Amino acid sequence: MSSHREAPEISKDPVADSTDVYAFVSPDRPDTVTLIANYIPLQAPAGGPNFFEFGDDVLYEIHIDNTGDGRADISYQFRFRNENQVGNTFLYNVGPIQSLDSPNWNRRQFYSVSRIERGRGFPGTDELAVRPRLLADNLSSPPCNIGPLSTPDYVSLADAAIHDLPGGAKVFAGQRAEGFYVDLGAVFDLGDLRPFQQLHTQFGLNIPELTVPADGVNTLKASNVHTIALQVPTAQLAPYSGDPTSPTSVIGVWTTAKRQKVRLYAGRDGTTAEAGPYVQVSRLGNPLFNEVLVPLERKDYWNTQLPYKDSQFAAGAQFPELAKLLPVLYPGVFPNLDALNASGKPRADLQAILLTGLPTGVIPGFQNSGGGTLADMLRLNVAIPPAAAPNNLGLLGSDLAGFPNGRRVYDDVFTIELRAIAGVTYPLIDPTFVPDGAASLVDDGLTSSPTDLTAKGTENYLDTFPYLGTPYSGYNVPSS
Amino acid sequence: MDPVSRRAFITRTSAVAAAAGAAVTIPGVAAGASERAHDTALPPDAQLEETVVAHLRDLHNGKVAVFAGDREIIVNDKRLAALLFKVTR
Repeated sequence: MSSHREAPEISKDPVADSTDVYAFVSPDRPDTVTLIANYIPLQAPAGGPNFFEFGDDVLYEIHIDNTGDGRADISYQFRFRNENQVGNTFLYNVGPIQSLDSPNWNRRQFYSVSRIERGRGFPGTDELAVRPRLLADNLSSPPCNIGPLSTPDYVSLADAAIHDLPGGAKVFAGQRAEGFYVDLGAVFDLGDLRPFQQLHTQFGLNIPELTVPADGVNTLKASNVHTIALQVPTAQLAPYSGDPTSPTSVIGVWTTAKRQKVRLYAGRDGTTAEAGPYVQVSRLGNPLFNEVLVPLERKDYWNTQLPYKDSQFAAGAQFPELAKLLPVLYPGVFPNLDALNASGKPRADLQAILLTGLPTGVIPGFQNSGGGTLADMLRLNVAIPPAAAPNNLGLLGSDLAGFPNGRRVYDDVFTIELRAIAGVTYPLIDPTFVPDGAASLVDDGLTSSPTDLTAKGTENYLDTFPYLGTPYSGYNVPSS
Repeated sequence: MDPVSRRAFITRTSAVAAAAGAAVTIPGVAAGASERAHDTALPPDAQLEETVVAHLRDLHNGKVAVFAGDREIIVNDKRLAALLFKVTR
């Protein structure tokens, strides 16, 4: 997955487990940038009686580096609190919820948004060095989408939970439909890509159903996540942007979740108590970085680290395990990749895509390198306008507005990264290298074409903020 | 939060130390100052208003981490460390 349950320890702590980060120039408000951080993976919509909610003991953050050093110049912080409004009931709601102040809605969630500015004009980079500026408090999250009796007009409820912030920004925090699509069940069954599974080595097992190609399965179809979405005027994130060739037009984006160092299960009433400074337990920039490129035993350590220290993980991008596995799992399909692996040359293409951004001169008219710091951040050149005709393969599809130039909700990041690892981007740094024919074809079979922005109808993105679709209700999913 | 007395510290520690193991719950220790930690005088308006937890980090060097609110206070006090250790035995 992108970053769902990607490390052993954080997989036990879903409310603090970041799943996806998106950053893109808003197509309907191109003078703004939309930043999205998702948490709480693999939500089955029928999650009652205690439906999903953000952690009221978790500090959620979205960070922006606008100086290219892998350190946060701007951070938005989100803190949640819960209220039981009705009392003396086991129910989430005691009647239809038709407004955000409905007396029928028992378990409500509210949050605050703060902004921290560092960097220019601020000494040091200590995360506690600058006091946060409270932008808003007591903002209401929408309820979860329960069903036609409890949340009869969910779209209106969610719209009402889009709040204005000072300076022209917008914020939303609540449940959304999962936007990431991947054939999880096949991929983690020893690298099975269903459309190409007849070419898989199969370890001599000779399984009949795997001897023929099959359609991909969007494992995350009809599941939900919890989304923190911001839409911010570009000038508030990258004040010196405008020239797409300038490093000052590039921002690096990532999210973190932090918990206090100590938690006590001390109360006889079943409550807990926290104490101590906040420490980082989850982070996410580029999709799949920690999931695929970092060894299992270092994944939770990676979650505690800051991007500017990511040179310690560079070997995972330079010599990715998956690049070595592909020729083994699919014998004879990737001979050129096999030879590249055998050469021992580091994958400078992957390092640029994931750790430094692409410098000027690699792709005509494009760069998203804010500096040479090795840092896993989702880098977005905010001076590149939204695409009139988006391609879900992003830069691989000659769409400069898509991943790895930021990430839009519909970008097929699994295929993009799979093909990059398979060698299709290596000619960017070595024009003599000829990628295997399969490298530009492999995928997990979830889109019908590069212009398919719905993953064969399994995704329901919105055209406007917060762009991720209406969450699925428990009544409707699973359907009979 | 104002510092709480060593006497109260001992009392609370004794009550919970056996169950808490290495991370010991205490009502409070003066921030980073051994002398104040051993001062049992309390201001009359002293109130325990937040969770306070002590973690014995280094027995022989007397390093104790105290967590309160969103702070982590390191106390270097061999007597305190020894006392914490003894109540677990």
